[in-house]
Amino acid sequence: MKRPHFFPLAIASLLAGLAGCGTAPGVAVFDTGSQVELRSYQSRLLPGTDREQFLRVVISTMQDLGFVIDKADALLGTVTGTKLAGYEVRMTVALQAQGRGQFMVRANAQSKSKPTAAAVAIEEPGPYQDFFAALEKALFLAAH
Amino acid sequence: MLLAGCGGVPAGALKLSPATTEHRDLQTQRYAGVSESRLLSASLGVLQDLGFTVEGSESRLGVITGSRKLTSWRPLHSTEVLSRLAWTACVPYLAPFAAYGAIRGVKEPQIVRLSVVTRPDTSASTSACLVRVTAQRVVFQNEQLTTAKSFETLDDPQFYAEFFKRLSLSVFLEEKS
Repeated sequence: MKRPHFFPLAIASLLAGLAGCGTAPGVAVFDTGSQVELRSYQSRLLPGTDREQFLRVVISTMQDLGFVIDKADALLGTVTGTKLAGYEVRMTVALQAQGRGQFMVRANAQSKSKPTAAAVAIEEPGPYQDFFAALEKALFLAAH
Repeated sequence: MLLAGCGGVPAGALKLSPATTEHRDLQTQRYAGVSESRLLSASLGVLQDLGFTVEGSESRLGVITGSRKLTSWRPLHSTEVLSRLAWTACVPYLAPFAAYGAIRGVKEPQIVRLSVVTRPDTSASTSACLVRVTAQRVVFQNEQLTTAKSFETLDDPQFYAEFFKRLSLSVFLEEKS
């Protein structure tokens, strides 16, 4: 007796359908939420004229928040640091001069809730609002 | 409950804490009459004396970052002491092993990372620089350092006091050379 051919065909169709459900590694890099909304949380226009002085205040603020500074680049205007306190937060802060005595400051961070957890991007506004509040306070104190 | 949202970051992770000023004082030392470049150079010397590998530096911003792998032994926590006592009560012939373990402590393979940041002290009329050190460690389950066990900030006052003692000596030695 001849076996029906539809079963292998059905499995093949299912596999072909599921193959499209994964994300290719290259594409996964671009798989972030709303870019515009995220930028608004992560960015703030702050007063300042001296780039190096501003970066030193950023470094000092990050140290106040418990970060160890991993890297800093005066030319590029970036500071990256890591905080370990039961959890891990890794954050980069970048400056862009906007003219008229202002810098556009952008922060982006990733966190791990514990050593065995996967790192995830911080996309809630709260932590960024806290960071900018600390930075604004430090800038005010540095200017007065 | 401590985790806010799906990012897994604890609420307040990027917020200034009431202990900020206390930590800043602990981690900062002022050096009068020493230039920033000399202080950076002396800090680099201390890191190398302690066996740290320099991971990065930016002298224009006064930053040096280093790390070191090491293994230390810590005393048992009270819960660990109680657990060993319970085991000894159940199986009395384990007592010598429990006593030996209690004396020896717990082995902690780890990577210690620290950053040294210098800046001119603008609040003083005389020439002076401030040095601030922040340090942390990742403790691993094994000597191969493949499985991390805990993430910790180093906030032991003794660590910072000892670091600045060595830095003062390094500044002195650099001046003499």
